[in-house]
Amino acid sequence: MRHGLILSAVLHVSAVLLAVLGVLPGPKPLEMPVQAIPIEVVDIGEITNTRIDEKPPEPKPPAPRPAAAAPPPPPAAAAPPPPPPPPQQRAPDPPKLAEAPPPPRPPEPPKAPEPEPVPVKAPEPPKAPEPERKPEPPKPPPEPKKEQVAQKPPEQKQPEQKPPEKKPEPKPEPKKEPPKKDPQPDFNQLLKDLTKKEPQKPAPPQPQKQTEVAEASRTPESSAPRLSDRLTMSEQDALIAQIAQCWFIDPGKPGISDISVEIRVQIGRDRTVQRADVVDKARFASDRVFRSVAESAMRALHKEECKQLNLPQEKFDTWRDAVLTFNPRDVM
Amino acid sequence: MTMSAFMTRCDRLARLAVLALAVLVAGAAAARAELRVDITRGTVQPMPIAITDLLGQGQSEGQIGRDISAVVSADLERSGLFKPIDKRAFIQDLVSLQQQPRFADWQVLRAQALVSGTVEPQPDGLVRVAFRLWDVAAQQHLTGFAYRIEPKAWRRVAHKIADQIYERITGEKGYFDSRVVYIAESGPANQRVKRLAVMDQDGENNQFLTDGRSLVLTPRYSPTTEEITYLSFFNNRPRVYLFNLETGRQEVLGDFPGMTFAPRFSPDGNRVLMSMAANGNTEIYAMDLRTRRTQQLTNHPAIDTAPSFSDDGSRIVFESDRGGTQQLYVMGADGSDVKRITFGQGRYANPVWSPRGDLIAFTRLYQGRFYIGVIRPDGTGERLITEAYHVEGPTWAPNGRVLMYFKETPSSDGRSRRARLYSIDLTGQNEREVVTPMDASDPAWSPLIP
Repeated sequence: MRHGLILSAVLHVSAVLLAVLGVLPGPKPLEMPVQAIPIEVVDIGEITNTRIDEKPPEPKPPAPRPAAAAPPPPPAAAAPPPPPPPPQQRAPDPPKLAEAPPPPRPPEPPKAPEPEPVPVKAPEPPKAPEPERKPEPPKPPPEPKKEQVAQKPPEQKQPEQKPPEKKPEPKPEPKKEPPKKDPQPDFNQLLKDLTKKEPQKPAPPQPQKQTEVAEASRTPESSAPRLSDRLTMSEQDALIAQIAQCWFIDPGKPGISDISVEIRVQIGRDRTVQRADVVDKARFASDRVFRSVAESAMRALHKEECKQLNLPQEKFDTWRDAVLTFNPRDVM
Repeated sequence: MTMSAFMTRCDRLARLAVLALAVLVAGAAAARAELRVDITRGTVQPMPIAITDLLGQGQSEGQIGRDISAVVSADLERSGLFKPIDKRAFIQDLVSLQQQPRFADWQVLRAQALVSGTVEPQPDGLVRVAFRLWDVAAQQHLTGFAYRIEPKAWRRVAHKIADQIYERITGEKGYFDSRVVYIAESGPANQRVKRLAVMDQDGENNQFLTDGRSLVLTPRYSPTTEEITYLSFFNNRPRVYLFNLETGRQEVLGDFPGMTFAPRFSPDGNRVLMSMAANGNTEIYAMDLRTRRTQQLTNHPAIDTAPSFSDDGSRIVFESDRGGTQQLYVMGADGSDVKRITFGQGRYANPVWSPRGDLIAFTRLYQGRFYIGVIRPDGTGERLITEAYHVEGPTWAPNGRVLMYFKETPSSDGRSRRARLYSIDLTGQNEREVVTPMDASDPAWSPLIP
């Protein structure tokens, strides 16, 4: 018995050793001469370029239905009976409705966290034991001394924290739709010039082209995913037109043509902006003009007309994270 | 096997690892990709702002609160950048507003900003005026200040509040707490009486400084706002004078052999530029007000006049016909390095350098019409922003954003003319009359009152 046990152990150990060293016949390694399979590591840039070349670049044809529309066209044609749409910018919308499973389009009232008659606590009126700088009574030209009124940070937070499930807003919220009447004044006309003759001085460098080039060079690189997942030019244009309508610009601001504000936004599935942050926080804190432009951009994203962005629902992954650059320099 | 097979395996494993790594990197890059969009267009509209009455504790404080609110509202509206919302549409009452704005109530009105405040009596007879500015969309407190003032000084405080709001929203300094000196005109054309007058920038608090016995022209504010320099024909001798607004004292600036005119202060207030015509020639001089020494800056047989310092005092723009026609030139503060900056047809005159430094305003006469225009100091970007039968004498608001000038329009029978002051945004939009009690010309805007 004992001998048998020892023998069994020795045999097992030797079998394991043989297997490890490859002596036992088993899954034979390739005996033929190893043939190197050439694997080439190609960088992403080339891949992207290749793909773009393969498919016709969609920016060129401003046609309403760009590249991606391979599978859905038939239903699209079937569903909307008479689609001879003359509108140029409206184009992107119909395809969306046709091909995508109609997402809860107007699913919920865009804004739930509407601050409301929160139980206003702690009144805390503006008065305070603020350090009055100088109570010195003004002289003939009365010299009012200014003192900073204490802020009320805690209070203003309140409305946001409370998820007010009730919304007893008796007012007719959708009072009136965005007055789209204003015909988007041409920016070149904003700086009035009564000169009838053509400019006599050497014209400043064309900023428009630069921007176009910059945009063209930027877009492909930023959208690495498949072509069909990217926003088409018309989809981008729809978004730009919507936000431009909400963005109030002051063309007389000093140096506005050189100011470019990047805002990183997170957009929810309902196409509302969930979060927006100015990228250049240092300049935001130090440059008053930059800050005012950034704040006007942020206000644009909060405006009623821009709360729900014109974005194709089915490309959620493409636009859920976005960087919006607000910059009027090419039109100045 | 052994060694070679072992190596083969290792090789395969290594390749697999490289492939996996590549896939991971590519995946990560794809996952990090974000949409980038350039918004290069916008809307040019005034910002809707809700300006509530300041809540007063008593009846008189309530009236002050309403008056201040009205002036703030008018200031901001006149700038063309704000659109005050009709108070009758307000939903939230003033008392609860002092506790905390109900932003939803203001969003309904499409207000982007909200102004609230209080007026409280103080034991010493003063009142304490406090205001707050709110961002309605972001539901944030933007700024707030309080002032202790005599009740009669409410108008000045209103301008200061408007300045604070303007600055916080636009990022630029305001210009509402400032004054304008101008020439008040009355009487028939052949017996015109011209007097020095000052008023708030909105036309209120008008005061006459001279009695009209001597002809006065081209008044200019000093940077301290305490003095005015101007041209007076006292005793029929045209001279540049200095008028102290606090003491009312006047003095002649220098005793020159010829006629002196077109005075203007340097940005630090220590020097005055002027032109002197003598022996048939006009040159530009600078006088140091501390030493009363003068320095001749130009020396050319042509007429050089209407000098104006740049915002930093390092350069001077002036008009000259040395090139054959009346054009604008820029030179160093010591008269060196003269460069012509305008080449257009017609005549250019009255150049004024913006306090912001980026533009020079001027008057241009072309084909029988007058224009007010702006141009960059390097001579590029000329724009004509208004024109009329006769517009002249542009002056900049303290923040370099708005221009004021006078415009003359002939009566229907052509026998008389009506002269009025107007303001206009430097973009050329928002031209408005500044109401004066009588005809007015030659306005000069003061800096912000300290």
